[in-house]
Amino acid sequence: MPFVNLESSDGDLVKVDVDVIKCSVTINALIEHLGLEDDNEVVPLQNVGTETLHKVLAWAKHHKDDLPSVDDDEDDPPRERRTDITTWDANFIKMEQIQLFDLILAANYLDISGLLDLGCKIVADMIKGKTADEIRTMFNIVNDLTPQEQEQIRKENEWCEEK
Amino acid sequence: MNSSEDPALEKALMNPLILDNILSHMDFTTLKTARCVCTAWDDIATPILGRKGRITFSKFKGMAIFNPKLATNVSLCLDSNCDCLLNCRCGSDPMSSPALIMLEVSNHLTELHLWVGSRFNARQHEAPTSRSCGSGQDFRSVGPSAILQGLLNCAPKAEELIITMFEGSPDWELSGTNVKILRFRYLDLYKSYRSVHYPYYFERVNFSISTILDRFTNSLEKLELGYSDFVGFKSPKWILNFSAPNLTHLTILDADKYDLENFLDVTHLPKLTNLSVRHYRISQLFQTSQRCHEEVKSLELDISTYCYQKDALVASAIAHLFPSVTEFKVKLKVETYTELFTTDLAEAVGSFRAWELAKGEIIVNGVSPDVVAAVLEEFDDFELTDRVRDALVACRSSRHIYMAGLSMDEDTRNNLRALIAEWNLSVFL
Repeated sequence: MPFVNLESSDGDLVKVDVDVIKCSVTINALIEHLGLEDDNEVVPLQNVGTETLHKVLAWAKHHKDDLPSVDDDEDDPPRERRTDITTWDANFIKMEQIQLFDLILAANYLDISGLLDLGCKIVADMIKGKTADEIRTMFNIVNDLTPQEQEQIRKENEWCEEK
Repeated sequence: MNSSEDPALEKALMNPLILDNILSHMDFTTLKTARCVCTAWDDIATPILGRKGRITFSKFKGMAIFNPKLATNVSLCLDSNCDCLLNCRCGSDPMSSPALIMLEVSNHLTELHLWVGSRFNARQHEAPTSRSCGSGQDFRSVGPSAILQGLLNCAPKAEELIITMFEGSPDWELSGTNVKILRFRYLDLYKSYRSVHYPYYFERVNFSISTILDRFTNSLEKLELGYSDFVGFKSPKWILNFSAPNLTHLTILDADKYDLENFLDVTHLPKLTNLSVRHYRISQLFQTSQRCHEEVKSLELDISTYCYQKDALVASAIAHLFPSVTEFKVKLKVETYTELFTTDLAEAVGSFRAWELAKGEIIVNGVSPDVVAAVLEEFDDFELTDRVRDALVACRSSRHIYMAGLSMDEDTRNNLRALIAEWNLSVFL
């Protein structure tokens, strides 16, 4: 089965080479569990809009020959995240904030670690150097920490040194 | 969190997996700021910060509650008189450290750095101001040994222990049943001063290394005997005579300071497979050891040679002592003051051919062209004679051959390059 039809949450069908979308653990599992055997079968993706799906597929197509990442071992401590971004990825990820978070949600739902890492790295870069107030304003976050909790965090931070 | 303008943003930032990924990409300073954004961010940023940072408790005042998620690496100073030590910002009363009462912290520990010095020892009979430990034991009537042992006992996740001893350090009589990796070292903080003003000074050593290590040996899998300052050139060697039934990896950084005669054998170390030894003279390495160890598969030597005949004899003895070696690495520093006995050197290196190696690496420092020829001729690898040329071509299936730092004339280099190009050899000059 070289192709699979993906149905976006907008109801649009997108035909895609299975080889391209193999980076998605979710779609691989759906294909396996649904027992899809011909090119007309449809995989419904209720959490991914058409525009975002096309972006995901563009990324997947560019990275289809990448070596698969090593599975995380639950017994091992969390690994350091990948920090390098290629020029192609840097250009690809230039988008409005609202589209960026749609893409991150899609990458998380489809379980595409490379794309999720890329999106999250960009958000981390956006936050770097900002104060807590600026971060809250940027993302409309309400501060639910009490003054006592904030003071406690400040003290703990004071005694935590970089290794 | 209120993100009604962008539901995707709210969904993403409220998803712990996504938030964890975002925060994992942050640097140390930004992570501290991220903790102050809101409760959800603090919950996820704290353990990430804990992995990247280290807590020092030595001047720990006014913090009644501590977030245990932050405490994966803890530096605990039990002596105020140690401004020479790393990571120590002392100055307060050493006996008032509340770390001792924090069971919730020690339960999360994966690393614990303890600095114990003379002042702590001197005050062991004083009644501490107030304390109890995780086990509920009152420390008013006990000495520092019990406090240290209590800390070890209530850190069940700590499998790696570093013991650093100084002059005058007593045997704290610590023991452990979970320690898998142990690094031991002795430091003389005044060594350079003494070597100038008191060259014949002998340090006061109040402990036996074998006795200290013996209390951890049942669970021990890896042991590193680090740099030791204290044994003078003519001082008696430190005797190693304990058994470690589960030890697989042993590293001895200054083998000349230890007496290994009754130690490196199957009786004492039955599961030893990886041995790494540094010694300043190959001729004195294992000179008194007679019993062979057939379990050792990986041997790494960092040694010097004066290219004497006895070096060749010892090399031959090493090959005999560890007959099952399949992975071998040697860093050989060639010391030459007189005429070079390259025949002896070649014979020494050639002794290692007795092994059937799956992996081997030889790094030679301090070489002259004679030494290179002696070593490489012996291994049929290098010298751009017809013999070496044939050998290089024969090795063309090797993935990498490094020949960096060799001096040769332009013609030889060009000939070698031509040979590399002709046969597509993976040789790096």
